[in-house]
Amino acid sequence: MELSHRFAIEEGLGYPIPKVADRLPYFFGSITFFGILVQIMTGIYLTQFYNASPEGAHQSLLYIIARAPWGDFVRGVHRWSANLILLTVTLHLVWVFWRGSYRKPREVTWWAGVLMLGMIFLLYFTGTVLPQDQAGYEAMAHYIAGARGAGVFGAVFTPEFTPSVSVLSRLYALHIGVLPVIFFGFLGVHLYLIRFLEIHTHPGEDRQGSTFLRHLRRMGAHGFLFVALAGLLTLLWPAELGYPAVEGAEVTKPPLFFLWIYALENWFGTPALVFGPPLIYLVLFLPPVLDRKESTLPRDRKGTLLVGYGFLLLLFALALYAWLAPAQQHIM
Amino acid sequence: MKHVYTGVSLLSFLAMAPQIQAHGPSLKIDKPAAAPGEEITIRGEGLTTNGEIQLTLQGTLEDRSLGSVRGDEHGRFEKTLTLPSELSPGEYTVVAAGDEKATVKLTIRESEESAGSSEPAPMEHDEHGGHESGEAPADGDSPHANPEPMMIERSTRGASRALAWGVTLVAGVLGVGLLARERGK
Repeated sequence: MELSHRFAIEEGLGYPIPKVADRLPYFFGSITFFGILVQIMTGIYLTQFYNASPEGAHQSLLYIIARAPWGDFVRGVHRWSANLILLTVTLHLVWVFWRGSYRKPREVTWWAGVLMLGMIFLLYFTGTVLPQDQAGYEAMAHYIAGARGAGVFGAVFTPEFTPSVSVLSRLYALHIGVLPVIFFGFLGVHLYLIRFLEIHTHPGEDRQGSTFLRHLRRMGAHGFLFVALAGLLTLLWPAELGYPAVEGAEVTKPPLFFLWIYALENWFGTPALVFGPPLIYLVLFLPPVLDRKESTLPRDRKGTLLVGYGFLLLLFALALYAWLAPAQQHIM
Repeated sequence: MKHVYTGVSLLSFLAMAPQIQAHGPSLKIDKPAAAPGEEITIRGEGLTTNGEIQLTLQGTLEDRSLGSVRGDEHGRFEKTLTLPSELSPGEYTVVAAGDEKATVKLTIRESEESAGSSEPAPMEHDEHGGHESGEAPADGDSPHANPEPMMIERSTRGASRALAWGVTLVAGVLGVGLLARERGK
């Protein structure tokens, strides 16, 4: 009680929020946040053992898995947590889109969220490169091919940009430094706007009925459940490591959430790497611009919802096709 | 007077510093990189005076004993030995442990024998020493690329695994308990 008073917990966090915000779908965003915290904690530990040189990366992964104290479990939680984050952030996006919560005056809240989503995907991608097994090596080769294909816009990401440090080391710097800092910048904007523009409610829904403190306690509970799920998945299906990369070979497919890019590559080749992800990503910025009707009720936005979820279904179909299609060589 | 004492103490420390440095344990190898089966010479000092020093080669997955050597009256030793022929290429640490302990890095490179028998890498190493040029290979593919996961003896076993289960269960119980408490309010 005393501690709570000294930190002004009740005064600062006890403000009212809508009752509907205590429903599970409203927690997907905060679960994602807890996932990010798990990533930071496990990532700091893994950083003590990881060697970001092209020659030493794979060996250091072997060391983490086989010899570093708790290294295998921590790495497993880090990897499963990354996958769970992609899942929860997608569910968060789908829910917010369903509710129409990107409407005026919450356009910037949505855009900050989309920018964070981009950071999460980049964090996931840079993470897949780090082990420098066959899949990691091929992911990096695609990254370089995409950077080269983008001409002057991608020059800074190519090996030719500097001979002083490897692309792997630069991707590692992005993974543990640059991207998290940018992410938390956008998160600050996102949370600030949610606090002061308040949680979006539909007509007829009580704008109060709960408190943020109560919501925060539930967020904590979901955070613990997230850790438990990541731990359970790690114990049941430990994070794998592929064999050291064979240079020039292209025999793997990307992880589930990147499979749709693989499908585009099958049809359009390397240009798909340059134009596919940015174009599809830009589409996510459009809802607040294109959907400007008065009502945010789903029944009044059937067309918008159809287009939005149709878009998601298209990505899913592309991923399914890429999963079923035989492996192809795109850049080697 | 107090300042004189301080000054003398500092000067004494500065005068002794090189001696301290000189007598600390140290370990050196005559080359930073070697191939399996190659001879290397290890020199050490400040480890054990007139006593036995254990030499170990620490790798990513296992440690190998390189035998032992006796330190002289100054704790110095020199030993030339042949590296095991079946070492995998990579980064290793040579550890010399007596009364004191010292380490030095050693890179094991591919032996000329195995390098000559293997397929040439289809992509050239760039100047970073990495394999990231992304250029098309001369022959289009490689017969050795393996997309399957490696079989590794993981550290999550025995007590470590039990502890991992414990952490997972505690997190789960805390999560469910907190949720139940909140719903009950």
